Amino acid sequence: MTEFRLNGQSKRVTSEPDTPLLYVLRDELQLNGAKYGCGLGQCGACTVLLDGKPVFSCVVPVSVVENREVGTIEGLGTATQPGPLQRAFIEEQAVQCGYCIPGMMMRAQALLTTTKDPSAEQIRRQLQPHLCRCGTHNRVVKALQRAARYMKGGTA
Amino acid sequence: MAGQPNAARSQAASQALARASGANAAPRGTTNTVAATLYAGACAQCHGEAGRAPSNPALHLALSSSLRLPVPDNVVRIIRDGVHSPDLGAEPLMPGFANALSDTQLAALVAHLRTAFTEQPAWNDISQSIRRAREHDASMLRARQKASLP
Repeated sequence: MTEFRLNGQSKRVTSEPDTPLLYVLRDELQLNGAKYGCGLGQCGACTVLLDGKPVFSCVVPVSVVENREVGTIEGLGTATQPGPLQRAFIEEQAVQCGYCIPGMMMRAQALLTTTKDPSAEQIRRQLQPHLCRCGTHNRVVKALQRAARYMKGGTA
Repeated sequence: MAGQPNAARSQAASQALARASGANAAPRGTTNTVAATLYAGACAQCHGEAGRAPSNPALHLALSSSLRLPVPDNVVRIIRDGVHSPDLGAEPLMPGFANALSDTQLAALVAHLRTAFTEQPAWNDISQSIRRAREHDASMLRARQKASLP
């Protein structure tokens, strides 16, 4: 039994304590935003926030998150009410196949929480741990800068 | 010519190689179930566990020199920061766990690795090593911010 907070709500899960957090999120809690990519902490698709900082949930046993705060893409908004970061990705059309995007968005969220006006270089450096084989890398940079404007109260 | 290692070192090397490649290629039993759970969930995918070979074999920790040093600073740093390729554009060879593991969890894991993979006496200064690593990271961050680096 492991208790933690997930997107602001208390959760209690029964998976074995050495189960990767990613499997608990997807299999026990049916939150399928975080994706399984490599299972080795190499691709970034499984990235979620732990106490506000990005971690690879495929190599974080659920015992690690006891009494801590986990944030996933589902906490950023919904399909009908997307949060600023999700809205910016849609408006910049920064998604092609989309498999890597939830993880990328969570690491982006961590950057935008601490850096209100990130440069393109800061964004590229922050997202370096994420593999993407589609072709929207430059649009992703624009989307983060757009989201930063939204978060500061701007309109576009 | 480097010459032959002495008998004790040769025997230690043979034992480490046997443990890393033979039927016992797994950490020894432990009384620290919290740390064993951390190892199973965070490390075993690459470093191996009892009865299951890793899909992406990393160094077997029975062969790790960092685990045999007098102080655990290197092990603490590797777990916190990961192992990076000399090609800065490439993915890390091992991901870092600084954001994932609390200091208490990291200390338990480091103590477990020393016991499970070596014959060396337990480290008694793990928390100081973790504090040094944190202070180093904080000073590096301050330097980056001062220089306005991303």
